[in-house]
Amino acid sequence: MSTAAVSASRKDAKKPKRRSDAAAGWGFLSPWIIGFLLFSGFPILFSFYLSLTKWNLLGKPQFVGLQNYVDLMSGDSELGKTLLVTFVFTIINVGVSILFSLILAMLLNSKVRFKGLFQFFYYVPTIMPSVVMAGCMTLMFNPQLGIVNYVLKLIGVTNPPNWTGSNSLVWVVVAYASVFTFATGQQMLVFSAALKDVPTELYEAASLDGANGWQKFCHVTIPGIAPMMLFNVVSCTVNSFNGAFTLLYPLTGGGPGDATKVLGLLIYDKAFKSFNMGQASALAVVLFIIVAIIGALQFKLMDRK
Amino acid sequence: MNVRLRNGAKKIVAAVAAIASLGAMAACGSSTASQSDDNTLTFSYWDTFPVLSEFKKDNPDIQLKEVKVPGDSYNTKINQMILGNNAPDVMLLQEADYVRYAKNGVIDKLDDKLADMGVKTDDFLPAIKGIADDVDGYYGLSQGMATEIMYYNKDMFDAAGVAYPTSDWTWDDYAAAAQKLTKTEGGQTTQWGSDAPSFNGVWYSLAGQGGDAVVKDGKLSLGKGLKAALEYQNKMTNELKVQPAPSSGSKVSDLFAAGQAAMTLGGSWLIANTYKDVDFNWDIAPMPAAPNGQDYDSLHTSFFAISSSSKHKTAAYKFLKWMMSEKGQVALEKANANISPFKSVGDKGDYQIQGKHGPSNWDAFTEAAEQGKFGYTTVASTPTFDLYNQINAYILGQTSENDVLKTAVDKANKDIESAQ
Repeated sequence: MSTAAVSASRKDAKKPKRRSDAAAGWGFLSPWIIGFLLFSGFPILFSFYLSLTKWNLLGKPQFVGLQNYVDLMSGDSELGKTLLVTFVFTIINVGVSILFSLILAMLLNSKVRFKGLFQFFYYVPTIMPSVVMAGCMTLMFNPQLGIVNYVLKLIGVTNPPNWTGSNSLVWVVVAYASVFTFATGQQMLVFSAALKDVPTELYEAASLDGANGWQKFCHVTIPGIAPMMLFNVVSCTVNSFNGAFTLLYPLTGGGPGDATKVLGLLIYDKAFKSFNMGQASALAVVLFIIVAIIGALQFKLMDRK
Repeated sequence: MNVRLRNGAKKIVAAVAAIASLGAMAACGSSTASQSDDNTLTFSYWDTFPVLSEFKKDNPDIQLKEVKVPGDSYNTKINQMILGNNAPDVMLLQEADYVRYAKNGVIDKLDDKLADMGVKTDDFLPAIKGIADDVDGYYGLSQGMATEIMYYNKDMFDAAGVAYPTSDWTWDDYAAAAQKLTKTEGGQTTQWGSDAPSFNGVWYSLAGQGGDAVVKDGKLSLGKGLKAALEYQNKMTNELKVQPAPSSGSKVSDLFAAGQAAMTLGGSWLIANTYKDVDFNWDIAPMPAAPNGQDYDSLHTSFFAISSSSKHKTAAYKFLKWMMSEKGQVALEKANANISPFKSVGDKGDYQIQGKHGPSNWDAFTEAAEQGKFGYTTVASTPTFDLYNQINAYILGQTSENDVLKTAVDKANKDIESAQ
């Protein structure tokens, strides 16, 4: 009965039918498409327009042409320094995040007891809001009251450092905090799945050829998870450009001085604290272009693999 | 047959998905403003606002709708509501927003209504009159005020045999006491004479004490006062080493509360929250004065303001009238531990929330309220915070005094200007 029905419906499948199938397809896609157009597409286009205006979030935006971009390129603009800080942050954040998620994933793939428990502990920081994590970090690295300096004093360091007060050491705190971010936990899961897909025969063959652990890691594991590695690097890079704000705002507030003032922080400050929406939008356009270029480059790289 | 049915169901699901998402979008855009009748009133505030139940009890005819927003996103949310022509009837506004909205005609001028509301402007503390002069009238009414004061650990003073601070202390007295109160052991400081000023407002108070106007004509006016403050704090931190170097990030630690610093400067709200339960004896004093300077401390408040587009102004006036009545003011003082802007109410002392081990010198609070001014809080917050970061960078030896006084102040003013 049902086979007959299927062949009958195949016979019926002429043009109008196909069109209505397409309509159903669009219907299913519509929540996402409408959501994207309204909540991403339109705001992106609108911010391009706003970058050509002066607007204090009250009244009507005034068209000023390219003035905001001219200001950004002028000598006393913060753009250059902020971009540099953003790149430093991205390199540190992506490096630390990828390294630790890979190490954790490999630990999870080794044969140990209570693996579920380890998985739970490794993943828990991921679901903790980064504001809470940053609060813990500032307290831990507090020069007078923090546990880090307490331990340093115990082991005989007489003058433990002012971590978040130093232009260079603040990056150690940022790197350490990067281990406990949402990105690291997510990537750990992706790596963990990828590692399970590496054929065990390859390891066996390598063992027969006399390869040691490190050689197996370099010549079997890494090529085996390369596509996933690239995926993680792309998503982590884009994420750290766009998501730097949630980590750094509570952790350092951009300080000391403006040593950790990344583009995301600057945009937020300009838009919602200084009410300079035009310049904030111009900065957002710059960020958009940078992320788009990096994303395109990384996808090109992915295609080649 | 089966397949055909499934196809039909599929189409229905697809249609429902499409309609539901469109519907959700439409709902996002719809106005939540209430109808034009004078029995409903929307009031917005951040975090909590405790006295509303008392207001409701006294005004059963008014149906109060609360717009409650988390503190971090309050300013942004209210700005968006104003832009969307959906502003709450009465908004609680921080100083900078109050000034900005007053200048942009978003909130109503209340001067004509003050008499009806029973507000006596003669009774206002000087700073309230000052800000009214700045924005050319009363566009809102202050709910209560916090000041900045000095805190000291009495046990540490007793142990070191140092006399308690008095209201005529100067920066030099503070520094001398801090020296006597600092203890080191094997090269490590185990007790600090003073905590570093970790609240940016304190820096603006210090600059004001040094002789600066702090804010003039809507811009920062900092010069010799800030210079004196920078040199004073640099001496405390790097020469005398009686207070720790500053660090960046959100402030989750407090050396004074931890019993590791003998003195600190900070907001009066610390009395009722952070220091209420500490287990040492402590008290408050007015902030020490700068040599050859002036009395100054930064005041903090928020204003009740009525949206110009409100359709419920009668109810809004009733709300403000109740909040500014003696009953409302006393209730607010008790709930928030802030002093009333009315001198006559403040003098009764209902704002005094006693902790377990302090304070007793409440006159310091009243004195600070009377000599306090609305300064840095009336301009956009990021530029003043950026400048605070640069000030800390100077104390940390990462930038020069001249860079702070010229480059950083100029940049802050440029940012403040473009924010208006």
